[in-house]
Amino acid sequence: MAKHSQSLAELVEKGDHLAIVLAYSEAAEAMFAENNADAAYFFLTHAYIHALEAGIAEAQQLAEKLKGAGRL
Amino acid sequence: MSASSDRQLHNVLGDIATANGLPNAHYIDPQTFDQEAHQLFNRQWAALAFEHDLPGPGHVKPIEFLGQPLLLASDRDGQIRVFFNVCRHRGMILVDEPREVTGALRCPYHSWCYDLAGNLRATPHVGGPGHNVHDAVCAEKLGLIEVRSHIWRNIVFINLDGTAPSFENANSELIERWAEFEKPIYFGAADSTFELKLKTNWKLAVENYCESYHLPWVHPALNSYSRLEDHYNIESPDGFSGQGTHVYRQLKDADGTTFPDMEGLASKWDAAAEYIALYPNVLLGVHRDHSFAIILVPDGPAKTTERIGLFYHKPEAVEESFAPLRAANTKQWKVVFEEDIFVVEGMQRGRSANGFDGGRFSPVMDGPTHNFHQWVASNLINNGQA
Repeated sequence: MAKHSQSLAELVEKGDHLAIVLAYSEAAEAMFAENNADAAYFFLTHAYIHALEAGIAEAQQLAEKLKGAGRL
Repeated sequence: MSASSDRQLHNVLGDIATANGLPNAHYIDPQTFDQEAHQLFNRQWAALAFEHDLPGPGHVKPIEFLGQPLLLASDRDGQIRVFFNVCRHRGMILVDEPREVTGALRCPYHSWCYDLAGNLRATPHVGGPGHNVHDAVCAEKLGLIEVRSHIWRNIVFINLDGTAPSFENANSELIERWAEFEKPIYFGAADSTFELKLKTNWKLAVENYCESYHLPWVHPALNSYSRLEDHYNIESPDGFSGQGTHVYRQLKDADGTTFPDMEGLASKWDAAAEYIALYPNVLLGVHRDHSFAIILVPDGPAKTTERIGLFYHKPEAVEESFAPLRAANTKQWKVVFEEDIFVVEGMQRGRSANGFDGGRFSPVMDGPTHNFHQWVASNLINNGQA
């Protein structure tokens, strides 16, 4: 995640919410692929919060995914 | 409060012929300033902001008011609310500068999120990493803390402690007096607002505004058409006082164009205007063709900001074609309000004179000022501060 962390920090600095949401969503998918659910929902939570803050349409879908897992 | 200052405060309540004004401490003492903030502002309806401080729906503006961090917020439908500007989690300040909120308000600390109606929408990791709910954290009970607010004449009023009667009940007499002006008014935009920073206590701005006694001396340009006897006093125990004139003259451009009038006004308003201080901190003026409001922001015992907004009575008056006349009107009022600065600052400096006893009123000319002093004193006494 070192490279991810650096690029996420840059995206946060720039306030590029859509790119942040996509980056966290990708990180979550990677963790799901490794069967690491806790790490996956951690990243999915971040994707959701940034989408919610920015009013990005993906927020709804991310919320449903978290709710479905009892995490929202 | 000492027995001496208690006696002085009660003396304010006497007949105007024998009463003294408020003691010096009410202008220079930080502790008295704090008491007044609590008794005269928190328990009443105080003016906080203009509607136009928010550019539109979805905008927020943090406002520090008498030490309280507040947040002015307009939701997607344009409904304006006032909240304490703190997260319900760790009390972090939520918003540091005015901005548009495209989605939710996110606390910059642990990212709890709120919508613009104040509802708590998300509590990330509150139940552990990736677990965003916990039985002990009930979102329905942890929305932003809303401050009671009411909008009148494009001004956002707040009642911080929530105990005042409804705004309409608390101000029924003034609302009735100006019932003819209860119609939409239109802010003139960037050319119709300005601020003045004053080295004075907020009360001296009220006191000077509400009486006409000073007009021929401090505003000598008025003497060419507006004599002192053309003015009348307005005094109400219902929390306001001021003065009116029978000789208002409309501003005209080179072609003789004037601002359009408010519809339905009685003929008396053809040449009448009224200038009223609505206690504690808003100064209002109404004329047939425009209105203005001055919000007094008490920044400290001897520091006040006057925020001025000018409003027009028909939508066309805020269009581009009227921009030069609006600019002239703003300039005209700015000259008048700046002429008052030396007296409110001079009276402030005078309040450091130990021998000053609050002053003696003119029984004929100072009724509106004495009315205000009585309001201050009676609220402080009735609320147990004297």
